[in-house]
Parts: sequence; C-alpha cells; structure tokens
Amino acid sequence: MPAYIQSTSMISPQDTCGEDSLEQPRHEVCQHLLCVDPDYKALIPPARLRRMSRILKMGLAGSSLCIQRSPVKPDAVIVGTGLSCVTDLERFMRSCDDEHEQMLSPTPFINSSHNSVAGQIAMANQITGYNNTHFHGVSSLESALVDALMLLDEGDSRCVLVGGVDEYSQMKFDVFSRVGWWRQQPVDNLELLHTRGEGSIMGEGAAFFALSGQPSGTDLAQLVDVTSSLCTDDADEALQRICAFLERQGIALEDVDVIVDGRNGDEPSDAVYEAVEALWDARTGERRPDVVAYKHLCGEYLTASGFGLWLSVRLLHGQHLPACAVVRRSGRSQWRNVLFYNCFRSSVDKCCVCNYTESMALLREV
Amino acid sequence: MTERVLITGAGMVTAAGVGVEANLRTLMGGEGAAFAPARYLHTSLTIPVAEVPLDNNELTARCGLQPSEAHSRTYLLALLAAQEALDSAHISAAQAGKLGLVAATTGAGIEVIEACYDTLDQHLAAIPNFSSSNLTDSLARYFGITHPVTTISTACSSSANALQVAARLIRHGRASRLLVGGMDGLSRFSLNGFNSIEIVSPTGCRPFDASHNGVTLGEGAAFLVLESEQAAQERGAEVWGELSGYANRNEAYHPTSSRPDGAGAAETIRAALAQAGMQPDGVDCINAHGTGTVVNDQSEGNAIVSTLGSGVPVTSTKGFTGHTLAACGAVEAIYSLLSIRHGVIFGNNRVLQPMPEVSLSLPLHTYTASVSTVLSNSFGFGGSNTVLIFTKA
Repeated sequence: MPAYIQSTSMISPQDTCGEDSLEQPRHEVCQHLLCVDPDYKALIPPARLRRMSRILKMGLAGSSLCIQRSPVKPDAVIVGTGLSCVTDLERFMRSCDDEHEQMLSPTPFINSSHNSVAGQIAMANQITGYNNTHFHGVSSLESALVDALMLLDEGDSRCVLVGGVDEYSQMKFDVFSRVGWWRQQPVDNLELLHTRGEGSIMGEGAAFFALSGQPSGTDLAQLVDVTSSLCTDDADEALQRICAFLERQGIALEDVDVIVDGRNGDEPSDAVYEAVEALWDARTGERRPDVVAYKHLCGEYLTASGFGLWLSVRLLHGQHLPACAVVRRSGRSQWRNVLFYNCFRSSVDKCCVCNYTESMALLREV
Repeated sequence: MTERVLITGAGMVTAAGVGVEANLRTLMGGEGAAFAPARYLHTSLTIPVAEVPLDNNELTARCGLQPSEAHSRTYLLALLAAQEALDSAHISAAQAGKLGLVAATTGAGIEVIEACYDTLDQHLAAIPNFSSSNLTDSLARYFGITHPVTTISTACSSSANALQVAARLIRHGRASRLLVGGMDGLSRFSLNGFNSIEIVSPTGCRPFDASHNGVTLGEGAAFLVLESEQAAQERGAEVWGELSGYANRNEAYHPTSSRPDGAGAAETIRAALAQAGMQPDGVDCINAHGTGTVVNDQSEGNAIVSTLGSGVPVTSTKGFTGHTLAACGAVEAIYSLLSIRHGVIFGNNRVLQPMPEVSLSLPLHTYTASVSTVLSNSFGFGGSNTVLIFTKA
C-alpha cells in the first residue's frame, strides 16, 4: 500500500526552509557543509533550546515545521539516524576523563541516547503512538520508511512522522577523514561532481515527511515503496535489482521519468552510477529518464538520502527540475515516476566501516 | 498479515550464564549473578555491576576469532549468542544467507572507542566501532546474511522493539526468517551515565523489594530465530513458542522517567493484548521490566495492577542478570519462552520484603506451573514503552 506524503520539511546546507532556495544554491569552497539554521527560537521553547545540541535543535525544528504543514496530525514518530547525538556522546565521554568519573553533568548522557530525537519530538508534540528509532548507518532513514509503510498498512496509525537526522561534528569529520571518506582538499560544492577526485564533502541535515495511508486531497506525492540491500559494484546486477524492484510496483524502466541518484563526487563510486545508467539508456533508448543528483547541495552524511527524497517530492509536486540538481535532461515535460537510487560506498575506505548499502524508493505524482 | 510468527531458536550470554542452558540453570537454582565492582571494565567506579564472567581474550577464543581491537566486547557477546541461536534452530551456514537480521544496541562499539579515543591514529582498526551499523553489519558479514538488515536503538526497550519490527517484517512478507536480538557490553560511558542520573544501586539492585534503590548494570547479548509459520513448517523446525502480540507506545512525559501512575505502560499493555486478541485473564505470568529503581517499580506496578490485576505472578529477572540495556528485551523474551517450554515461573531472587506501595504477586522462588502465555515489558528512556506477548505454539 503506498503512503501519501502530506508535508515535508528540510533543514540543510541550502536555504531549504525558504521559498525557492534551489534557484540560487549556496556554494563554498570547503570540505564540509553546515546547515542554514532556521529561527530555532520561533520553533522551540527557549528554556528547552538552551540544553539542546545541534541535532536535537534540527530534529525538533524540522519536525515542528513538517507537523505545522501537514493537514493530518501525526500520531506516530519514526526516526532514522546514522550516528545520532554524537556531539553529546563525545562531550560525556570527554567529561568522564576530565572529571575522573566524578560529579558528571547528566545532560549530555541523557541527550546522547540514540532515540532522544524521536523521544523529544513525541514529548514536544504529545504524540503517544508508535515511536521507534532506526540506527543503521547509511540505510537508517530507508529502514524507518519501511517501518512507516508497514505501520500505515497495519492501520495502527493515521499519519506517521518520519525523519532522517544527522549532525556535523568535528569528531565525525576527523574520524571518517582517517578512513578516506572526504576529499583531501577543499572543493566548491557546486563543482564537486565535475572535479576528479576520491572522497566527498561532509554534510548534515534533517528531513521530515508526514506520511498518511489515505489521500487527504492535498497530498504532495505518493511514496510507493522503499527497499535497501547490500551494494553491488556490478552494473548489470544493479540494473537487474532495479528492474525487479520496479516490476514489483508494476512498472518498467521506460516508465521512470527521473532518477534521483546519490553520486557524491567520489569518482570510482560515481562511475558505478554512470555504468548503471548507461545500461539503462541502452535498454530504453529515446525513453531514457532525466537524471538528478543532490549530494553536492547537502554534502554526504549517513541520512543524506533525506535530502534526495525531499528533492524528489518537490520535483513531483512542483513539476520542476532545479537547474543546480540536473545531471542531464531527456526532453520530458512531465514527471510522474521518480526512482530514488542511492549507493553509499567509498572507494578509498581503508577500514570497511560499514557494509555499503544501496537503497531504492519509488515516488509517484498524485 | 495474520501470519503466525514462531520462535525456532535462541542463544544468549549474560552474567547469569553463557548459553541458554546455563541461564536456565541459574534461574532454576535461584542464585543470580554476583554483583560486584567491575573486573574487566577500566573504571574507577566501585559500584557493583553484573559482568559476564569471561574476559575479552576468553570471549575471543570462544568465538574462534583472532584477537583484534576491531572486535568490541559487545560484538563478541553478540557473536556467541547469535551462533547459539542459529545452531539451536539447526540453521546451517549455507541457509544463513537467506536470513534477515534485526539487531539492537545502545552503545554500539563505544567501549572500544572510549579506550583509545585520543590515539585513534594508532588504532585504525578500532574506527569501525564509531559506525552505528558496524556491529550489525559485522554479524551479517560473519553469517553471510544480506537482507533485510537493520539496527534499532530505543534505549532499554531496543531489542523488544527489534523483535516487534522483525515480527512485522514477517507478517508483511518482507522476510520469512530472521535472526533478531540485542547486545550491549558494559562500558565506562554507560556506567558513568547511569551513575550521573543517580539511579545506580550502590548495593546491588532489588527489583520490587521494599529496599529497592536503583539499577545494577549488566551486559550481554541474546538472539532468537523468528520464522513465518510456513517457513518453519517447510523445514520441520522445532518451535519454542509464538510471538503473538506486541505494542509500542510513547509516554511523551519525561526524557528519563516514567509516569508515576503507570498510565503510559498500562496503555501499551492494553494495546498488546488487543493486538494479540487476548483478554487480561489469559496472561499466566509477567516478565517485568523491573529495573529496581523506585520510579520504575512503582510506575510499572501501577500499570500491571490497573490492566492485569494484582494476582498474576510478576517476576523481574534483572535480579539474576543486572540490566543488560539493549539486550534485556531479547534476554527476557528467551526467559519467557523458557517459562512456557519448561512450565516454570521464575522467582524474584532479590526480593526480601515486597515493596509496600503496590500490591503485586511476587514469587520469591522458582516453581512449576502450567504456563501458556507470558507478557514481557520493556521500557526505555525517551518515553519508549514496548510490550511483547509470547504464547505456547
């Protein structure tokens, strides 16, 4: 059963809380991108704001915006987060050393609980239904969305708030620098996909989606299905998996109007997307899809797929491809089916930090 | 979505024993783990904990691995428990590739990171322990599991939620056979964290006792094999029991405390009974969350009395194992199934004088009884309440 997307919100390194931010995308020469902060004081009570780390602010503010925009109030919360409240975790770990395990402030420990974003959202909005946190690296948000699709299908919720949240921290940047995830030299993010190199730039963000099992009449798009599995570097096999996923939804490659893919500037990894899309083109000929990318806009992080899904919804609802995201146009004038396709891998990872995962989602115009 | 979800294997490692049989012997005998200052954890705190009685070298050897700082204590505990679960379900290495995996953790590999944080450049092999999914992915790689794979982290209700997600994946046809469980090794981070909130018992936990004064942190891992009825029948699997009901609700009350009146937990218990299509009098005994804090014990006691009455036997097995955090939901799921399989109700080994605030039926010793249905509570920070119901298949 598809879900109907009632509303979205996106806090990102682009001014995505504004009206038409992607027409003039922000760019800088950098190794990481930080979010453009919304007016947190307008969205979170000041007394609570003082005790909150960046991820909690992003999560609370993003969820608040999404709930405000939804015609149906969510009664369940599911969050996907790759590394959750790592800044608070580091703060408490440091204090154990610095204070010799005596008289420690409990706040960073309490906030570092991986479900604190989901718990705080429930508390702030008095949402007492289902509440879960998927904490599974690059497929955290996708797992949360599968959970939400099941919940709606069970009829145990009228509207589920689903979020993908991860914050930048210097510790994260340094740690994953050591295994080669980031570019060694600063690069203009808008040029990231066109400059040769290994590694990407780091980002952060909070994406929220209010999903309902029934149409409300003001739905932005349909989320038809989501899946994730281990990555393959074999383009033939990857295309077979895509075909199988689409077939389960009753459509063929030719029916896909846009691919929103997760290329991130890591040249060997991006080559796999290009190989898959070349095979796709060979199969579909003139009916090849448009291709859109997004990680040069938001940076790479474990729930960056939230930005890609938010962009997919925006594209379907507005029937407009922002120029800064277009990899190629194929002359289509209407977009009905979007395939979101993300393969997180790092060609230079020295430590096998996680299993590299591919995820797919099919979104459809309402 | 009415597919029955059956349990066909289980494995566990706790302070109460390495392996399911060892745990059962401990619970039947009535003597829990010795609560004592940590032997294997590097900490200056001397508060009692419930450690698995094996150091990392012994755990590594039992797992058949070469020593490596890539292997956290949590991973080693999980590997032992998961291997036992697959063995007991008679699932071969070749068959494991068709499994999914839903795991739960609160700490991931933090005990490795905290030991070498300032010198990570010399400890590159430790870095994967930063990744939330590394533990689960490492288990998946070890057993050749590919899909679906996810990790749940909802504090102390984590593995109860993992079991619930797994059951729903089966009922929705997204998986037919899953390895499911939770894992957390003791860490300086968690011990100091709970100590900073002032909910750690200085003397050793006594859940539901009049002198209850806090939790005793434990460690461990527990995994179960869940299958659709069809999948279990096709391979003639021995069935331990059925996961017949579940519910997940949020209190939306406080980041770390439960509602004193137990209303949030009570609502979750009612939802689980409704989901199982069961009346309150169908519950034979309760495996309580029973941490031993005054707030939990009174809140949970109120929730039980208001939904199930004060006559149904209530046991907290944390007096045997300590509080194993993300693992406790799966640990106690196995204890619930052992109650059903062996026809026993476990005693509250640390209760001397039942707490006076709420009238509960608290068996002091393990005894034989006909047990068809066990209700198991798990509650966590962030207002997370989860209830599972296990029945005789």
